[in-house]
Amino acid sequence: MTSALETASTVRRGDVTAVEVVRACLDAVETADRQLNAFTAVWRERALDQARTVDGVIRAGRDPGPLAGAPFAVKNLYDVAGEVTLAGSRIQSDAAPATEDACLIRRLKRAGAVLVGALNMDEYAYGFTTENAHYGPTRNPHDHDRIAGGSSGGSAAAVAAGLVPFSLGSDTNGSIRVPASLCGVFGLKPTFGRLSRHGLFPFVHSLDHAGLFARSAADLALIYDVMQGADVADPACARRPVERASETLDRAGELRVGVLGGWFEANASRQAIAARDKVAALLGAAPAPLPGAEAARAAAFCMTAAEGGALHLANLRSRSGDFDPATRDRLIAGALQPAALPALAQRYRRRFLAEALALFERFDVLIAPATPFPATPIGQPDVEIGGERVSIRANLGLYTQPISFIGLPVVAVPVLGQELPIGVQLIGAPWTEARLLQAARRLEREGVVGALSLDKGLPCK
Amino acid sequence: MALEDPVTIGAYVDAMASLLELQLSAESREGVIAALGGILRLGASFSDAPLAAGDEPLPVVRL
Repeated sequence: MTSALETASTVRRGDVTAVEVVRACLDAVETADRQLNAFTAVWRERALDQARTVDGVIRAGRDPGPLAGAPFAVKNLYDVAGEVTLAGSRIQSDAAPATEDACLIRRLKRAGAVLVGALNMDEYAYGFTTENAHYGPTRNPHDHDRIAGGSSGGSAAAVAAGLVPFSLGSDTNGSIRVPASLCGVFGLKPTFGRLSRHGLFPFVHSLDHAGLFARSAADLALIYDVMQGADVADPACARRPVERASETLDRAGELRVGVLGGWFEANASRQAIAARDKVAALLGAAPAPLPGAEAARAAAFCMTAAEGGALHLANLRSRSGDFDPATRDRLIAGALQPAALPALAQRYRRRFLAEALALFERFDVLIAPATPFPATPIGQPDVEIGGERVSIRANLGLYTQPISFIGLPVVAVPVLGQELPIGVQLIGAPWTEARLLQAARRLEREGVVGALSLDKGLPCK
Repeated sequence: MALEDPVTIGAYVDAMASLLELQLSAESREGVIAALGGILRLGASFSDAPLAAGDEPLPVVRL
């Protein structure tokens, strides 16, 4: 699968039709996904119909949009008109079909992109492994015996396997950055409030972010640009003007880069540290202290459990047997926790945000590993961290949770030269996605990061 | 410490589950006790953090 940019260019030039592109994509999905289990639905006829519409626009001499004919797929918590939004659960399979597409899907379709299917995830997005009890585990394209990460595991795996050039996911505590790291692709979690969440099944209202996966910084920037813009239907969506990242992608000036230490390197594997150090060396990074990250992660954990538990309380009462037991018990625990904890977590959030913003007076970009270790075997329940066995499902987001807790934008970049994929977070001040994408682009051009091929750990062309 | 005591947490879980009309199987009860124990331990790390009067709750980040 070529990039979304290249695909759209060839379709717009008339070198290939959108129908040909989409048919090839659908055929590849049909073959490869028997093993991967990244998709939970493939909408063949619907996708081909939309591709025909794109071709018709081109034949009529009109502009088909910057993503003309580029196939994409979405985490199955995105509303798609006429389809049931599963959110990785059995319970939602009884819900009525969505009446309209999610806002971001509408914007992508308007730009000519073609939706081909829905992607697997952890139940209700509560997990970091995509070992879904109802729909099966998504397998890591680089090693089918290993997890893809989660909760947007299907989204990352589909892009890593080259089945689609880009996909949409969501990130509450790391659910884009973790699977991007484990699958060796780029991921963007923008500033909280940047992208509309209208039409996404919620998990934690105060932490949910919409975002995306792609195989290059250029694709990430273009697709992000297409999706930007205010949306009154999402109360958290900011009323900011569109700040295009694709037009300034190659304009990287001098960057003041800091390496987060302390919590962000404690318990990291040698692979995670090696990947971080490669990025730090190229960007000339200096140490950057951000105390309080451990408490921030803990506060995010408790807030997540509280809001998630409250959201699902009715179903926990009436349909507890229809949940994945591991999800159910964590949600119940969240609903039962003393009210003082999420209240204190909210107070701590203000303190930690102030400390992080002060750090950005000295630095433009902060870097940290995206995950403490590469993908673990499917079915392995725990791992040793800090001398004790802890759940992988709950702890892969050690380094991502403190950052989404305060809504900062992050580009997760896949670092080359590792045995198994592992990624690094490029973290910015609020609303500096364009600068982060410039840094990602620079690293890509220098050969430090790139979407991994499925065999050699080399960048895909 | 009560936070480390599954018996104390179990009693709390039983009482709260009853109040919220949640039915827990024996297996689920064990899972909830373990998960709640984890939450309480993590909660201790930020509930002890020094907070100033100006550190008001931030329910949603407005950047």
